[in-house]
Amino acid sequence: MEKIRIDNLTFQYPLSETLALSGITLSIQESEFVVACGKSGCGKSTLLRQMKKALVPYGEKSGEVRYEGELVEELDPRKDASEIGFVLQNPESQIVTDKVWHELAFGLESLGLPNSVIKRRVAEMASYFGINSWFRKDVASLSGGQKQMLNLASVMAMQPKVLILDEPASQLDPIAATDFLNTVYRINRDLGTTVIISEHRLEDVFPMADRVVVLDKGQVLVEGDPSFVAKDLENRKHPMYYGMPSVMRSFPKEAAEGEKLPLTIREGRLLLEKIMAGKEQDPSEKGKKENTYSHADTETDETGDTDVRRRLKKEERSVQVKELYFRYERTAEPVIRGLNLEIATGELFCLLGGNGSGKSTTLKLLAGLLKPQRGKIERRDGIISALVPQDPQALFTEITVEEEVLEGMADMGAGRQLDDGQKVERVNDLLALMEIEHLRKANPYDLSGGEQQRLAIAKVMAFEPNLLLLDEPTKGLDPFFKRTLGGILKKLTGNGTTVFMVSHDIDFCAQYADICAMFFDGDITSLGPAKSFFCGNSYYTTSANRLVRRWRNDIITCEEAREWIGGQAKPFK
Amino acid sequence: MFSEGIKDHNTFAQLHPVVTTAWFLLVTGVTMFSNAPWVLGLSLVLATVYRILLNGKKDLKGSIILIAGATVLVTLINGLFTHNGATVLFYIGSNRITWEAFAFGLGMSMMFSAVAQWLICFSVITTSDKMIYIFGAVLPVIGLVLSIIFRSIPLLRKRFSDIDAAQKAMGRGQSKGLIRRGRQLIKEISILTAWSLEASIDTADSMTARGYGLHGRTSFHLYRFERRDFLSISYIAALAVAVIVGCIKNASRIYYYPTIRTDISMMAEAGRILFMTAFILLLIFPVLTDLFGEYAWRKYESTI
Repeated sequence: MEKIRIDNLTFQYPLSETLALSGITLSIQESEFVVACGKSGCGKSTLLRQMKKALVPYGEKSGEVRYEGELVEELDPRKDASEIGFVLQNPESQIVTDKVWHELAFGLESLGLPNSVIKRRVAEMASYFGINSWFRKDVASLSGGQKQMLNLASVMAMQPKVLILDEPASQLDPIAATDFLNTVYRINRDLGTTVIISEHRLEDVFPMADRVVVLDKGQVLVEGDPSFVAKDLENRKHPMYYGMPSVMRSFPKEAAEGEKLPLTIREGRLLLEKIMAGKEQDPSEKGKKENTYSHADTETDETGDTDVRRRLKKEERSVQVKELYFRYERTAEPVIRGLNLEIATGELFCLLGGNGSGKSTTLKLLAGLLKPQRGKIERRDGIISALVPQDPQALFTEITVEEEVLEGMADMGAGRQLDDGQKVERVNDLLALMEIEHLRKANPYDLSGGEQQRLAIAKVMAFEPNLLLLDEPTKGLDPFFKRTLGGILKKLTGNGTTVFMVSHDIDFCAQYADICAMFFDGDITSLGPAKSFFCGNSYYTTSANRLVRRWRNDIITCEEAREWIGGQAKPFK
Repeated sequence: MFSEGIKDHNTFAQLHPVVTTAWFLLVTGVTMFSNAPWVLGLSLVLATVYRILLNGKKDLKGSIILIAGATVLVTLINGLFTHNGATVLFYIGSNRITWEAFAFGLGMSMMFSAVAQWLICFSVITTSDKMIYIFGAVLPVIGLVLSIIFRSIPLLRKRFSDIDAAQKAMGRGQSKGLIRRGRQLIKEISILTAWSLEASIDTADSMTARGYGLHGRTSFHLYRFERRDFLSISYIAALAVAVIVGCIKNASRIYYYPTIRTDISMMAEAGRILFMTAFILLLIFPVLTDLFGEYAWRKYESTI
């Protein structure tokens, strides 16, 4: 049965010159799992909101959207509320009440259900989502992943037939995100709920999807099963191809001729076995293969060494941390235990690690926001550090982008005052560097997540720091913004700025970092140049590396894997 | 056990919020509308005992400061600024300073401190959930607003500390001068406002998406009215009749002016004794319930 039907939908926001959506026609079937993807600002959110009466934005609209044959704008509000569930991006700001149990009941209270019915539904939901143990807790005490799970559960308590999710996992760490998306998948499988989801983390949702809809500039670019979509984008050489999961991108279309593109590492390995099957017989190739493998192995041995200290020369160092200990309370366990760390001038240093391993605490210590109880942080003379917080909004005070950057220059400290001309010049330089010149008159709050991130960097760069500290800078960014950000960070390090970032984003770090380090239990457990670092890990490594490590352990990025696989596949054909 | 206080992990607090709230309303109400020292004194003593039972020994100091402060302040103010009363102690200028005015001040200070002590106990027993339930029962929207407020407090606090950290990391906010620090604070508050307003758009979306604004909203809660709640409310109601009748018949009041008269009650001796007995039984209800609960728990622990 057709659940949602969109016919020739065109939509324009007031005061906007461009169409947010134009000529969209789409039909979504009962129990289908549909993934909508596209660059930030391509109209995904606008499209999703058209399917929920309560959230349809103001603007000029033509064409129609029907839910079960009824026009969405004519739906009974009660039906709209209970049958169409909508989960938004930010876990924190969607929560309305102070207790978990009350939040679960919120929608049911709106529907005016009696206490006994609510109790039963809430109990069902709490059991289904495994939230029994935190049922009576304050929402403020939950982790980000738990908060988003609560948002999902409280929508599901209303027993919707259609579940719409707008980038629900983009603010979560990878483990919580996978957990969340798997729960969405389980809802789709167990209950037959129709799911329409927009997401950047396509690695997780592509294997779940029945259908993928790619949007570009408010239009449907292509739709179909994931493999078809990826091949089509490759054929068109469309930039959106870059946003496809890296397992898919590792296989050039020639390598997967006549086959479906693999969606998981497992499928990728199987396909690769097939491609390599012919190879193994070739003695010359085999020798070559072993050669590269053993080469990679020795590299692993070098970095697998237990001593993770770098021995940098004094003039190369920006910061040296010696046997640092930190605890938040006298009676608490230390969060940082004997940390030794050296950061070289002009490098991009990525600190990776799980939640609660002490990464962010390390960053705050380096920024001087926390004082260590034991140990030393030695900065080279003349090091000025700047920290970009996880939420860039924490920095914004002005009403336009350019004023925002200018404000960063107020209060520069003695001896570093600039005259107005220099300030204007610097604002222009920074806007150009961060590639946000075209937004100079925009309000910082109107920017997308990636643009806000770049504005925040521009603002803190305004007072000329030479050590930039970033807290999860890729959180919530789409693959394109990540690439832009990566390029910008490289430009900064090229100019001699040292960049130190903490991140969960393995693929980003593999591609752009000079040095990666793994943080665990208050200390660095392994460290090395990006390549040897990831080659030395078996689980905590990029998907490209996991895909091809049986044959080539020295490949870590998707581009390298693609080139290698392409090379292998050609003679086979 | 008692040195740390039993907080809200006690038998009285486990009663249905309607029962505990009714009890507090009754007791503070009677205290507020009384002026006889024996009524106020009893109320004050038991309020203090209960506060210390709940919060532990450390609240003894707080109680003493509160009572002493209120006594000195109210007694002096009333004594020096009220010139009613027949028994003149001395004159300041042409103003009479009377014994009755001081006595009235003393009575009022007892009333104020007793009510304050009861409110402190009330805030321990009535957690945010119960408050939301009680108000939600009257009007669902008030319950929801309270819930949103309780949710916002930790959220705003966290945002503010993020903002403060971000500003400090930019080298702001460490300057000494009062004006500069004030300006920095205003800036941080303005960031907090902008950020929170922006986030509240999401909250509003999430509310309307889940049907907020539909007609006939109900208010969900996790409380059940059990047999012991029924017994407790019956106990309280029975005593309430005796106490309220006593109050109406002036058993809880005296005249301070022009001279102190304690025999203004319209009740016979037996009626007054009944009133006082009922009032005492009412006041000791939570203390007794908790002590009994504590005893039962110890007995349970010793049998395993």
